[in-house]
Parts: sequence; C-alpha cells; structure tokens
Amino acid sequence: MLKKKGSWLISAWLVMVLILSFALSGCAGGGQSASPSASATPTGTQTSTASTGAVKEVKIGFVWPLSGGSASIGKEHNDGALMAIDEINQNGGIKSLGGAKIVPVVADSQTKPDVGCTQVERLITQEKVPIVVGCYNSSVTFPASEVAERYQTPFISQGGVKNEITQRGFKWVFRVNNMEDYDVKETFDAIDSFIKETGQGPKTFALLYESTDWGMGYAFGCKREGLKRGWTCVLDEPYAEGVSDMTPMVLKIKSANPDILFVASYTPDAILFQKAMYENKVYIPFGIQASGGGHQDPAFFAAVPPESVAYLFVQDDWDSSLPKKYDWVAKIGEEVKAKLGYEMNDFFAQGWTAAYVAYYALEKAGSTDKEAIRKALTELDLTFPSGHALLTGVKGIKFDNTGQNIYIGGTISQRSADGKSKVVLWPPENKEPGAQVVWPIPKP
Amino acid sequence: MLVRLIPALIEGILLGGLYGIIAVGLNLIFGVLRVVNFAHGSMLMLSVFSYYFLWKIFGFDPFFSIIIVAPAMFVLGYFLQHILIRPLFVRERALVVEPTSVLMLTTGLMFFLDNLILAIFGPNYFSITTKISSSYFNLAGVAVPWPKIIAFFGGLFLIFLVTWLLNKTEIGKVIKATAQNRDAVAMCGIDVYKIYDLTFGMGVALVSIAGAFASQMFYVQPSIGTVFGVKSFLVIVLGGLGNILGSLIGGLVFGIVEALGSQVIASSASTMLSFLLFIIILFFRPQGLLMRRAERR
Repeated sequence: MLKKKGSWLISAWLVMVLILSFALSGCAGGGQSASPSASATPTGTQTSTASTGAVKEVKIGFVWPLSGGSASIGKEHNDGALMAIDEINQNGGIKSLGGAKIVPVVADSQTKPDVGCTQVERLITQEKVPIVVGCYNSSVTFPASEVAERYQTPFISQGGVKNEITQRGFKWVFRVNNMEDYDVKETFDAIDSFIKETGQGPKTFALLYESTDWGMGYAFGCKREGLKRGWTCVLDEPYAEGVSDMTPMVLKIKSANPDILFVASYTPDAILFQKAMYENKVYIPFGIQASGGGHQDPAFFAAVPPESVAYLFVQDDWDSSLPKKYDWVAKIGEEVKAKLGYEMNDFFAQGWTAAYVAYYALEKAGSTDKEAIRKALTELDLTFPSGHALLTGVKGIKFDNTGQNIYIGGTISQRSADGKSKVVLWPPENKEPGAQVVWPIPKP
Repeated sequence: MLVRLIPALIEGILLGGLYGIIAVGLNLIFGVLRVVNFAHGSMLMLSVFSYYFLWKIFGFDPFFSIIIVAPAMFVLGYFLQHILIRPLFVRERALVVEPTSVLMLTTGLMFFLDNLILAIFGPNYFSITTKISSSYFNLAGVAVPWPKIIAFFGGLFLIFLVTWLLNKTEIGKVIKATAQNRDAVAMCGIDVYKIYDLTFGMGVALVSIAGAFASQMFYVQPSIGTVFGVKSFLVIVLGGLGNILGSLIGGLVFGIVEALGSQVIASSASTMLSFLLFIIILFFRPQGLLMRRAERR
C-alpha cells in the first residue's frame, strides 16, 4: 500500500515538474510576459488584420533574445519597447484608429536563428500581429526577416547591422539602425580624426570577433579599411560565441602585439575577454576599439573591474550626452533608473525608438492592413525628436528604397582613466565640450 | 611560437582541471546509479548563485562559503534522489536496470531550474570580486589568476579524497560494491536506494565545490550551467564512464586541446579540433581512456 502511494505521489511530482518546466521554458521561450513589466496579452482580443473601423487593440510582435548569449541585451531592448508602448497607450493609443491601444506580444529568440524564425512565424500566423519588430542579433534578424517577407508582414529590424539585411530587394523589411558598413566607417572616421589631431597613429592592427554574421561582417570591414590605410593585419581571430575561456585568444593577441585592436563580442565573451586582457596586462597603444554588442551592455560594465576598461573606445548607437542636453530624455532616464534599476543605455533607447516607429507606421496607416502599414513605413519621415520617439538621438527616420533608415549615425566614446565614466569624442557635433582623446593611451 | 605554446599549455592544464572537477560529481552519480544527470549543469548554476548571494549579502568569500553551500547542496541532492528519482527506480526495477524515465526527469529538472532562476534573477551578469579573485601571479609570461591555481590543486585534492573515500572507508566500499553489482549488494542486506541517495547527494555536493572555483573565474548568470554541462558529458565519456580519475584525465585532455588548438588555428575552429580528438579516442578506446575492456558493460 505504502509503495503504491509512493509511486502515485512521485508520478504526480514528475508530472508537476515537467509541466512547470515546460510552462516556464515556454514562458521564456515564447510567452508574452517574459519581462516583469510586460503586460500580459489577453487572449481573444478584438484584433483584426483586415482594415476595420472599430479596432480596440492592435498587437505588435516583438522578438528579442531574452535568453542565451544576448539575454541581458535583449531584455534592455524589451524594457525600452514596453515602456514606450505604455507611454503611447497613456497618451491615447493610436488616434487614427479611434484610440486603439497597442498590445505588445513578446517572444524569445533564445539568441538562436532557428528559434527566431519560428517565433516570427508564430507571431504572424498564430498571434496575427500586423507588424513585427526584432531581433537584435544579425544572425537571427537575417533569416527571421525573410520569414516576415514571405508572409508579407512589415518587419522593423532593430539591432542587426549585417549589410545584407536590407540589400536583398525585400519590400517588407525596414531597418531603423546602422548597418555594419557605417559602424566601420564611423570607427575609422573617428580614428582618422584622432590621427589628424595628434599626429600619431597605429601601423599594425588585430581583429577579434565572434564568428556569426555580426562579428564576421564587422571584422571584414575593419580589415578592408585598415589595409586601405597601409596598416599590417597581425591577427585575424574569429571565435565561436559562448566560450568558457578567453585567455588563449588573449595570449595570441599579446604575442601578435598589435598597435590597435578591433573587437566584436557579445556580453558573456566580452566579460571574459576584458578580464583576461586586464590580468595579462596586454597593452594596446591605440586602444581597444569595441563595436558595441557586449561592450555597450551595462551588464558588462557591472561585471568587470572598472580599471579593466580604462581608455576603452566604444562605438555606441546612442548619444550618451543626450540626458544632459534634453530634459525629457533625462526624465525618461530617471524613470528607467527607478523602475528597472539601471542607467538608460543604447539598447533601451533603441528598443524604445523601434516601438515608436511601429506606432507611427500604424498611426499613419490608420489601419491594421499590412499593405497599408508597409506603405506608411515607406512614406514615414520623422525628425528629431518627434515627441519622445527618437530617444536614440538620431536626426530622423526615413527609409530609402532598400528599407534602410537614411538618418543613422552613432558616436565614438572613450572611457576615462579609471574606467568609471566616458566621454563622447566623435562625431564633432556630438563631441562633449572640453572632451579630449587620450591617444596613444599611457602604458600601465 | 613556442613562447606562446607554453603559456597556452599552462592555461589548458588549469582549465582542464576545472572541467575535470566539474565532471567528477556527474561521473560518480553515473558510476553508481547508471543514470545520467542532465541537471548537472543546473546544480553548478544553483551553487554559483548561492556563492554569489552569500558574498553579496554577508560578504562571505566563496572558499569559506563551501562549508555552507556544499552541505546544503548535499541535502538537496539527497532529497532529489530520495523523493523524485528513487520511486522511478522502484517502479521500473522489474522492467529495466537503468530507467530511461530518470533521464526525462533530470532533463525536465534542468529546464525547470534554469528557467526558474532566469525568471527570478533575470538574464543579468553578476561577478564575485574578492581579494583572491582579482589577484594573480605571473607564470611563464602568463598571468594566472589565483582562483585558477586554487581550483586546480583543490580539485586534485578533491579527486583523491573521493578516490580514497571509495577505496578505504566502509561506506565508500559499499558505494563501490553497489556500482559493481547492485543485486549482490542488496542480497547482503544493504539498502541500495539509501546508497543511491547518498551518492546523488555526494555528486551534487562535489559539483557545488567546483562552483566555488567557477564562480570567481566566470560570471554568475543562469546560463553558466549550459556552458559547462555539455562539456562535462564529453569529459566523462572520454575519461571513462564511472571512473573518477578518468574525469580528471578527460578534463585535462579537453582543456589542453582547446588552449593549444586555438594557438595554431582560429579559435572558432578549435572546438572542432577537440571533438575530432574525441571521436578518434573513442574509435580506438570506446570504453574511454582509463577503463579496462573488462570493465565495460
């Protein structure tokens, strides 16, 4: 009897554990409330994909990497998008649709291309969202945007910098952010200006990058630009994302002894890399030039000792001096700090702006018809600040015939000697008053 | 070139040692229960989070916290086996010797724990910085962090302690006997399931000690278990399933191949190199590096 009771108990336990685990993995894997601030999506809302007069709610699909290697970055994008939607809804929703409220439907790509594609497909076919925003990683965005194209659903690409995302002749894909050619150009324009300013510059360079679309594309561009300037490439090192140790790569860099180092890493690798560089006292005279990614993530700066990021150059997609210039940005920054507990950053701002772009497209279309939204996106012309929309500080949003935003532009900043703060150095119009580049950086 | 290979070798040995220690607990559990604990990485993750919070809240050094976390994880492991896994053994004992439902259970447990921690603490990265974690010394031109050295020698000590325990103590001998022939042990009047409880607890406690080392070298994040989890399986298969010393050897082989390989070819391809070696070794020694043919089951 006892045994029977025991086995029954266990079966119940097993079933419970399995159900819970699937429910939870489903929650992070494709649920609608992956973030604490996410508003849950009520099922059976009166959303329609066809244009009708009485729409009460309009769904917008978001696909971010909420678990896996880019989880912290994905969460920040999601926080930004959801907070923007809260603001839009509080201000009366979509006015051209009779004040329809926006309902965000959030899905997790797990930082995996295949999962990203499945989630975009699910949002379009199951959740019937008329517009999708995502997916941060180039490697995910590239195939996932193709899914949206296939289903003829407007896709707002946020984060992916791979050139080809908007160069495939697609009609339904629109990219708000920079593409990697511009990232590379900005980095090298800034370097050129530093060389001009100080009369000194590197002769050799090295590349370290994660071996998916983003890292490969960025490194390819940097190599091309470096060689064009007559520098010698002493190391070209790709690595598989999600490594358990970065020291072997750092040893390679140390022995290659480059004058300047270009890095593209996601957060976990960036943490291990920066620690290993610091421990091994690797001195790069003209600094580490990081192309965003992990090196933009506040979680990265929280996890490494500040001294290890001294004089680090970062290519940001957000002008960090904005809160000092505009009160409304500062106010949003305070709200972020109070509600979410971190300093507002690129990723939050970009998620925010991407959500606003989707809103403006719906507002302009005055309909949830996909073709109408697509048309609205092609005609969209926003200028800074467009209410609170352009939190990223870009001059405007206007898509060219490939779907690329023509008003893009990031900034190049350098961390201070103690690594605790940073100054924006480039472009000249964003340069902070009195900011001075440390070039070459002093030997420790 | 040689200048680079020596530091890489040192790095590989130290990292390999850590792989070995992380895998020991898994191997012990497999050796005795004949069950692969897929939640092994999650146990590592849980203990790493425990060390982080003990450090964050009370300021305890992870090395000190071992005396709190290891017994706690032993209790967790003991009751996991006692409450969740044991009934599956009991239910299926008439049908099979190694119940596959346990595999499903541990896999479910992995998803449950990883996502539970992700849901509670979010995907953020934390790190433990103590006096020891941020100090390092120079060995043949490579800066070796102290935690890595301590991890390596602490791990060696741990592995020999476990070997001694299994060979010299009464309970160890019973555990070993259970691994060899559970029916014979049962006939001697020993409660086999009790031994399973103890072994599972020990395995989990062992990985929690490895967590004290890992927590200072890496970051604290819900996905840390997956970084090491898969590697642990490879390590124990390579070294010999159920062979404690084999875990260390398997770990060392992996660590060294990874570190040296990435000096010769691109790092992205060096993972391929370790898998290639894995296939080659298993082709010639399917029983693993340290197992005699007779020991194969």
